[in-house]
Amino acid sequence: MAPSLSDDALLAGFAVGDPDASLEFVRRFQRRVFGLALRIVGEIALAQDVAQQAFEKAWRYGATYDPLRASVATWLLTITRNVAIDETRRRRMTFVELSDVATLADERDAGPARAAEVSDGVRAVIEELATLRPEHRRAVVLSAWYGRTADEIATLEGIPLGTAKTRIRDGVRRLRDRLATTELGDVT
Amino acid sequence: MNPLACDEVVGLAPELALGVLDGSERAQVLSHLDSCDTCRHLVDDLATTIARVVSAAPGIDPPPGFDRQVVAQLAPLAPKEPAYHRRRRFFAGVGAVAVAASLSLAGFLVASGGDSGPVTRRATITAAGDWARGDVLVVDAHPTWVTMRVSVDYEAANLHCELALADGRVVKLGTFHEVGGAWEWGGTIQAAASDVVEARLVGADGSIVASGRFD
Repeated sequence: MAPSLSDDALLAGFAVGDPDASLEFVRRFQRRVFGLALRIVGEIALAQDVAQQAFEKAWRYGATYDPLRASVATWLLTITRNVAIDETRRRRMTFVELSDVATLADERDAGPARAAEVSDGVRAVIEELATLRPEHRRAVVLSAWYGRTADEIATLEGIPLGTAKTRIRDGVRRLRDRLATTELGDVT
Repeated sequence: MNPLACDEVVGLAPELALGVLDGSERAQVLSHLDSCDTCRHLVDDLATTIARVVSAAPGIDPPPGFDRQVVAQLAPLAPKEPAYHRRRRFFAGVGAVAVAASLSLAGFLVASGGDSGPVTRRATITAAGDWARGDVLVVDAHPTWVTMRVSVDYEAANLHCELALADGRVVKLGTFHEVGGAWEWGGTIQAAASDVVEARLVGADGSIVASGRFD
């Protein structure tokens, strides 16, 4: 399997069960899928299970992938997030690791594995996140990357529920306004 | 359940798009969206932004061997049946997709009804006697996107699919194996949508068994 195959082509091979394409597809995305799952569920064994479920859904529903709407990575990570949030709701997990919020500004110093994940589209998102007011950024990251509700964020931050909702709302709206001018297809 | 006004929905839309709105508020907002295109569009818009933010989350290495574990657990589930159409053998995998001259193709399946977007060209292909028929859509995107839906009334030998371009070149999309029933295929081609003039199904002997000109 040539390493230069596009994400779309790899998904095609994965969706039809080609063994080489399947292994390459999982290897290409496992770090991001597992990372997101672990952030949301906070437990390695459960994160593995969530990541496995996400890949299985991608395999089952690869036929529904629409390249005009999102990149393969965005599509796959949205699946992962939904699976992980369902799991946390079922298990009422409370784990939260806030290191991402603090290290957002250090993206340029990240290692090679992270550098491989950072396309122009991802970099644009990171840069816009960094421009948010810190309290808004925490609210957005806790919600988007950790699947936390406004109620949970209010408890974590020691703020009223209404304030948590306002921070989520204002942060997401600002990102939408700022990111609307960049190409969706840049996200890989 | 009290109906919500637009300004209330606008305030809750980010949480709905994030998937973290609680049950009662979620139900109220969804009820409102059933009858409000403006708010539904806002939620769609926010969901797109959030998907981008989610995709920017830094990865974490999984435990060693996770990749093979995933593939091993999927293997017993194959072969799978598609939700909408029979698809017993799809082009024998990506590696078997024929590619013409300087043109390349990265094919993948699309779902029934998944051809949303700026569709610019359509061709209807019909075989003599109507034993094979279908539709081909060419989307003017970057790269050009093609979807093909074909119905064949009885088991036949392999059917090859190709697109003819205005300059005489032919884009060979691939082959439907053990044809019979309804099939779908989609992929991208390195040719402009405006250059595609005809879609064809070609029999094993090389003869064109069905074709259709694009609008």
